[in-house]
Amino acid sequence: MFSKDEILVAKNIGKNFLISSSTLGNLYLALFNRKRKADKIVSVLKNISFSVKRGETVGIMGRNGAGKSTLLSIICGVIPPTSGEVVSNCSISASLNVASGFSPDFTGRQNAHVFCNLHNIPANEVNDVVAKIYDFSELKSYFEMPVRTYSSGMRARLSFACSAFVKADLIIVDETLSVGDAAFKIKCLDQIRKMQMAGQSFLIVSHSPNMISAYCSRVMVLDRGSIVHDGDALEGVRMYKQVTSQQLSQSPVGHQKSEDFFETAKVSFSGNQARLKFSCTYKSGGHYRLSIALKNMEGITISGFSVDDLIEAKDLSRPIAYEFSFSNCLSDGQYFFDGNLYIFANDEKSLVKIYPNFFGFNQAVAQTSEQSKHAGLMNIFTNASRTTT
Amino acid sequence: MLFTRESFKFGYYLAKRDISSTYSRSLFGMSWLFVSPLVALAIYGFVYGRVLRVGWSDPSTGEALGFILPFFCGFAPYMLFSEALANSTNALLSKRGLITTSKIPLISFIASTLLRTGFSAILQLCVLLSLSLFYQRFYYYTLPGFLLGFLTLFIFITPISIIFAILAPFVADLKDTTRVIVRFAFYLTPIAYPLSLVSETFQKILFLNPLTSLVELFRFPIYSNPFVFQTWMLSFLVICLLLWAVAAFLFSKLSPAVTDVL
Repeated sequence: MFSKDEILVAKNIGKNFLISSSTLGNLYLALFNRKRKADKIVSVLKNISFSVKRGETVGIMGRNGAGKSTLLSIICGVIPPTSGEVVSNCSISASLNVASGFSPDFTGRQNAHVFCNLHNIPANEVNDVVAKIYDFSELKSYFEMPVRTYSSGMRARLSFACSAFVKADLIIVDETLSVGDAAFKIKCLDQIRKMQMAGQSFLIVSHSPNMISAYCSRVMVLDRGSIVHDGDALEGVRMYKQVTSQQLSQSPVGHQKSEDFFETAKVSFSGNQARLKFSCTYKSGGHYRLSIALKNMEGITISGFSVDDLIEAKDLSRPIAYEFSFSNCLSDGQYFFDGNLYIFANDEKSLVKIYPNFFGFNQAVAQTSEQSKHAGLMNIFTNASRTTT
Repeated sequence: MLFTRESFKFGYYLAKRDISSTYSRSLFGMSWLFVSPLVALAIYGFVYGRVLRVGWSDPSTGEALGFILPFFCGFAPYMLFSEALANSTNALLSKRGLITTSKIPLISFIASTLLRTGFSAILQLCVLLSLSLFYQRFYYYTLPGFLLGFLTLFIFITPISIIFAILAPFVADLKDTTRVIVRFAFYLTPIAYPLSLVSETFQKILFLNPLTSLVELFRFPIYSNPFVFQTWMLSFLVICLLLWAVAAFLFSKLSPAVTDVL
């Protein structure tokens, strides 16, 4: 089963979930091994096979719902796979999301003790390990308080500290580092680097291309329950971006090419201020609302704005221009925009079109010169106005 | 093998932490464990013993036993049964976060509720022994008799706890159903009234309820001659065996699917 240096092998892992109007459907399936007529089975993981070698750091990327967390839960033995098997000849320490196996009524210290017990730390070493967890997590007096009183960042601190200090052969980190303050993230990343140097294996789930490319020797990209890439980290990050943009362009609501709507856009930066001008053409008259969201490459909305406009028949012959002033406070990196166009009819707002990912830009590049592109480029919008062209 | 050493290890740990975290925030702390049954005893003692003049007599000698001691002999197992049932329906649901993100065996959570009930059982035993001494019904077989009673009680409530705990994530109505069962069980079991008060036909019906057997078993240690074989002991044993078979079947079938519904 294991080749040289392999510590974990997953073979043809599949996982199905039952979609049922009530949990009785699951009861029926579990008892009689067949589903009721009204219930549906969805496959969230399909034929996943991979292995992890000793000393390797494997990154797992994929959009939300791709099956990453389900896969990790199966690897950790928390949920059983529907088909296939995971075989490991190592101890695994998991920090599965920020809740990470913590009992909310227990204090941080009590949860750390449970975590040590769960990972078979000898009784005479438990206090030392808990002391290390206490020091690293920097929770101070909160360590003696119930975990339900913690913020998500504090849970992440405890979660990472617990998984890092129980001396497992393979440490699984599932988006734990996506919350918490920057200083603690840096501390965690330093710790990961130190442990990597000492030969520690990691399985890291993250939406951050920077983190994955910097810390992982190999990347698996999951899409719709299947592995679409398993190999080079940079190639994996590229694949992840491709998968993310595909998702945006395959949005279930009707959409059209941005060229059909957005005509021109111009953005200029001046110190902490930025100004955006763009124009678009409407196909028919009416009371419209144009909402635009600025997102980073992880798909997180940074900010957004919307503008209401009454379009008359005479406006259809020429592009309508909009101008926005906003404060320029984005850090370097890739950003893109989603646009949603709504129309008001009978006091109700209904969606006309979605313009997903209609423009992307690199802030570091955009900052250096005035950008004039086919479509919009914007940041944090403080006000919006229609201008005449 | 349902329970392993490992599952009891975590169960013990969880139970210990649960008890300490529950009572550390309480003003009167663990004294509630004594206060609650004693308050109930006082209320029932007044209503049934004083007002309604309900009482027991020794089956061998016919000597009057009063109300308090025989009542508590029935009330103690009933309280433990209702506690185990209520805790079991919550055993997996209340630890949802822990179950879906850690590898703690499911049976540990059930073991934890049983151990908590076990902790209450020790306190009940202390109250029972104190009352036996106070009412001068303490014989050489009283302590082993009560211990046998508690052992039998756990043989009975363990499979019930497993069944309720494993079904609760799948059957949303179970929590409310449990409340109804517990309420009915109090009146359909001769806890606050002696069996002799009901007709022979109704006595047979009462023995269909396994709690009746348990309650009667708990009263033997305070009788002058406890060594009497009763046919209901055999039927109780059969019920226990059936419960264990059902519990083992349901646990093996449903435990792999629990994380899917939590």
